[in-house]
Amino acid sequence: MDNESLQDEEFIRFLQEGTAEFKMYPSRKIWYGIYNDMHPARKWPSLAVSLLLLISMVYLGINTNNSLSKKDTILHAQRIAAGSIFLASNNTVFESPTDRLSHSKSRSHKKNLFPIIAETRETIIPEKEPTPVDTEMNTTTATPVSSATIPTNDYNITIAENNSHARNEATKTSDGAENKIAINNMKTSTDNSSTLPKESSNSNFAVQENSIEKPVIAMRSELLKKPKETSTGSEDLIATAVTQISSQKTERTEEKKIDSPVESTEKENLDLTKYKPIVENKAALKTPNLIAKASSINYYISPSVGFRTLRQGGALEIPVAPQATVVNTLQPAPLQNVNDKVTQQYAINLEAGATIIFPVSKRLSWSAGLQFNYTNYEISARNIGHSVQVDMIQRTTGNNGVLVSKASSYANTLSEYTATLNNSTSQVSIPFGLQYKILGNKNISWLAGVSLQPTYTIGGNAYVLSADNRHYISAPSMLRRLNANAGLESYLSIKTGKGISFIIGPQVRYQIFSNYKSTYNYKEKLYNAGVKVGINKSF
Amino acid sequence: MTEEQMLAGSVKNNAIAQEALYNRFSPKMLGVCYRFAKNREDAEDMLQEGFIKVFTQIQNFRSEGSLEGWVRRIVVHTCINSLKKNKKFRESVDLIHAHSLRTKTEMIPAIMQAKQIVECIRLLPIGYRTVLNLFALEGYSHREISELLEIEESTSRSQFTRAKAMLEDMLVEKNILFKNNTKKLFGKTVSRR
Repeated sequence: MDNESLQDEEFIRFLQEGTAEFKMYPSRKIWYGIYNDMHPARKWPSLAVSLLLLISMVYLGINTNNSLSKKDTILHAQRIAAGSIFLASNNTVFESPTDRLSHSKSRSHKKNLFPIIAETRETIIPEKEPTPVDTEMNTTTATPVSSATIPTNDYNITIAENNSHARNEATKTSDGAENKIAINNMKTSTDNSSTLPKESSNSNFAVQENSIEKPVIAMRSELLKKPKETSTGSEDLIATAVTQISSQKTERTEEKKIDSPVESTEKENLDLTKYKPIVENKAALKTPNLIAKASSINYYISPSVGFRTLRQGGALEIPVAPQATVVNTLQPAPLQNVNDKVTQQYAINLEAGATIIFPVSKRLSWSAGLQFNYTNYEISARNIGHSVQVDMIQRTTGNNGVLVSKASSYANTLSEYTATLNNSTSQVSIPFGLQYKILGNKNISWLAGVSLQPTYTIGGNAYVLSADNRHYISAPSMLRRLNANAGLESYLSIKTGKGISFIIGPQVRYQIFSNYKSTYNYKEKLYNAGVKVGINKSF
Repeated sequence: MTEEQMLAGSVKNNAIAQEALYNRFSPKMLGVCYRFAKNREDAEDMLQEGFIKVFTQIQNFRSEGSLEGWVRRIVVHTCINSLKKNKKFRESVDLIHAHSLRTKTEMIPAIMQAKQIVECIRLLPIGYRTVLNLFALEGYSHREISELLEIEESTSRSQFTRAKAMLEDMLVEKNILFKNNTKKLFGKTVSRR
């Protein structure tokens, strides 16, 4: 071998000695990759939360959709009863000229009116009994359709198709009380099988099994007699009648026939103005299906300052390993106010989202939505310039714990180099809340609200304290995934026109559970104080 | 957490024990991967793949040797398998690359001697580097290397000889190694045979 060259064995020993202590510290994402690969089941929380979000949105959509259908149907039924609209054979709704005149603004008419379950507590009772009218059908254009009866507790609304006169007369119940036109506490049913049996061409209203029907209104618009003059396009009409079933059905079993049609040509007899509160509920008729019950939607962003409360957990029994080679901080620091050991500073936080407002009463409403939270605060630490192995306490069961060795380059002891550690989380949440209008008029109002926000932490950065409270260890895996926030807010809502209001006001948010998993022996709760700014758009 | 606790927990797929084991060995293992890899990112990929293998096969560890040695062997095999996926590596492991080293040595950062040595090793052509790593630092025989890399045993020997010569030059140039009658290593003066 060349004299100038080292022998293989010596060279190898040189290399081995020279590289024996060579270490590199991998980034944390490597561990997350390993962790996710080894524990795929732990991905279920994120999937579950995603599913929960999806189900919540679908549920809200379906629920509000059904609500609209109910509301819309009953409104149409009421309007039919009031004579403000007519139902054509193709189920197209026409508006009476009177009503159209009084509501000349554009209105989207609902097609395909289905008699479905509907319930309302609204009580609309005319002050005086309407005059019975007769409805004469245009036999050349009216398309026969099946009669449809919507059974109610006390009344039946019958939408009868015939080519005859629907008659109406004021009748009396068995107890002698005169029936009035009332769409009161009405419930409809999907049971459409209870249609009226077809009567003769004179279409006297038949008595259903175990029930007595009394035609109360059979209306004919005077203009129907002159369709060409009015050009209402409502030639194809059916007679509309509202019948009432006596609440004392057992007392009346005799079939009644009404054979004395009374014709009226006076529109004013209908006294349509009494139904205005119902008919004029244009908002419901114009509202899109998905947000029928909702009155408005809030889009907001809330910059805030974030901070934390930190509390050390109770003492844990930690077995000391006899073969432990790293004797750094085997025992946890004695219980003390941990806040004396750390220096923490606020940082800018942000939350943004949208909530749909559902009115409960004139002043009270509830809301639900979707929100993104970014929480953040800073720790003033010292960079010690190199990595050291320190221990972190992790609770196992009960008061038992283990010391887990971690690498750290940051401490809260004196060092030449300062470092600012940033602890942050990114969360998605589903805020549910209540709002109460404290004061206000048409243009400006002052509201206060509370909310509960189930959250899911989708990511973040966490520097946690070591067992001796002297070092900071990067441990984002210790962040708790599922958490909840409580929010309190008060804001001004200022109308700017076109159904849009500007909202601004203070809000605070407090995290209910610790930011970390229960295995970490410290409890950290985040809180924020900020300003909510946004817009409210009415439907 | 003791090595036994880490081992027992890892066999039970306990995340805390696995993380403890990972934290114990990952810095040294990343250093190993770094010597084989093209860059740090590749080294971290190798490390991740290696530790997944460690945790999935840890029930096969029979405590006959050290846990670190067993982990290291799995990580090295992972590195080799990763390198073998690269077509360029297969071609280069049989070739002689003895050029353009002078310019590259200027890139070595003078931070620490151990790091300098590793950086010098990493400047070697990939074929040289792999054989040198396996033979000199991981303790594989030329026969094992030839099986592992699917090359001739003689090729492994020649690769090592050339790698050693090239590395010596680089280390001398960096004043880490003196090719006189003595060598200097981390302040220690060792007499030559």
